[in-house]
Amino acid sequence: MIDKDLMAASSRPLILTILSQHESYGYEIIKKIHELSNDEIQWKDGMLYPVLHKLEKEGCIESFVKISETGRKRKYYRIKSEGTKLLETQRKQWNVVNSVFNLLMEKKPCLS
Amino acid sequence: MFELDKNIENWVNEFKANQSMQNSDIDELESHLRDSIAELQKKGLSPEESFWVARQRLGDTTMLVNEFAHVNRALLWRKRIFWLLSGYFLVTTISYLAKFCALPIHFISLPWLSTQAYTFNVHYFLPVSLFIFVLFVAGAVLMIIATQKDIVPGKRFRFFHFFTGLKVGYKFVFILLGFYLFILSGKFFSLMFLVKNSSPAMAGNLSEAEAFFSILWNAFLFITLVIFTIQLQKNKHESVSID
Repeated sequence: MIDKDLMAASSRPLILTILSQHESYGYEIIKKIHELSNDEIQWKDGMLYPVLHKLEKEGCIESFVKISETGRKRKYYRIKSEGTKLLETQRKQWNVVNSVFNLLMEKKPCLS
Repeated sequence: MFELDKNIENWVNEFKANQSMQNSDIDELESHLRDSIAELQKKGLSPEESFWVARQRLGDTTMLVNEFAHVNRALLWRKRIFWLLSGYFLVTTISYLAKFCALPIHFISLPWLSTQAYTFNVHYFLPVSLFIFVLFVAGAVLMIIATQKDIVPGKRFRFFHFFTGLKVGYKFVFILLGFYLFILSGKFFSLMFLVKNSSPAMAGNLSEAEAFFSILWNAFLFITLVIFTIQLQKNKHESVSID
């Protein structure tokens, strides 16, 4: 299970990445994250929405209502150009952290 | 027998009792809960089991409300100011009403209360109006308590929930004091303006003018209240356009 702070930091790039592939709604996003992480990432489902709303307020994503297959209204989200830009910088930052981490963890041959 | 819809409704009402959630937020959460329940039922869980599992997965109500409060901070403040302003107008209206009711009492009888029964006496006038004021307030409080009694469990009276919702008590006192200072400062500055712009000969008219400015100030506050009401109403009916 992944630490709370790390989860909070990674939630935005994760959501943006999913939305950059296709428009989606809360339940689908959280399902995808659960599946891809083999349930290692365990958000409380509801915590996703404040993050989504914040991203929407910042102009990174936008929402619209569609009628779902069950006939109920469902709020969908899609990424905007602001969001794509943010995702790009966040991806770069993650890559830097990731590569530093990998280099540090690399097993050096023991000379003695 | 487990009633799924009724349980969902109760769960939704827990959120509705809170000021920091917009209706669209609650709809979204409900939609999520129903999706989750439907999927769990497909996997073979009973309606009751799937409701509780889905509910647990969504997270604790208080925690969610707090998270939403962070995002909807502006809305929360608009609602707080709305309540404070309506409270202010309720109290001023009651106090004017109390004074109005005290007037005939003063002129008609109760001479034993006054030293000069048939002349206008502030020392007598004040306690009577104060007494009526307290009566009105007590009546209002009793009415609120009475309305709270016959409420379905889980569906709390909103006004009370607003106060209990503020976890840190001093935060609320702080807001109240700030608001009181704000009201007073308006009156104070209008008075300052008057004193500065009037000659000593006009000193007698000062209180009249002060009353006039206080009416202006109240009118300004009232307009603010109307604006906030309209904005909150808009927020309530806010719906996203269908693509």
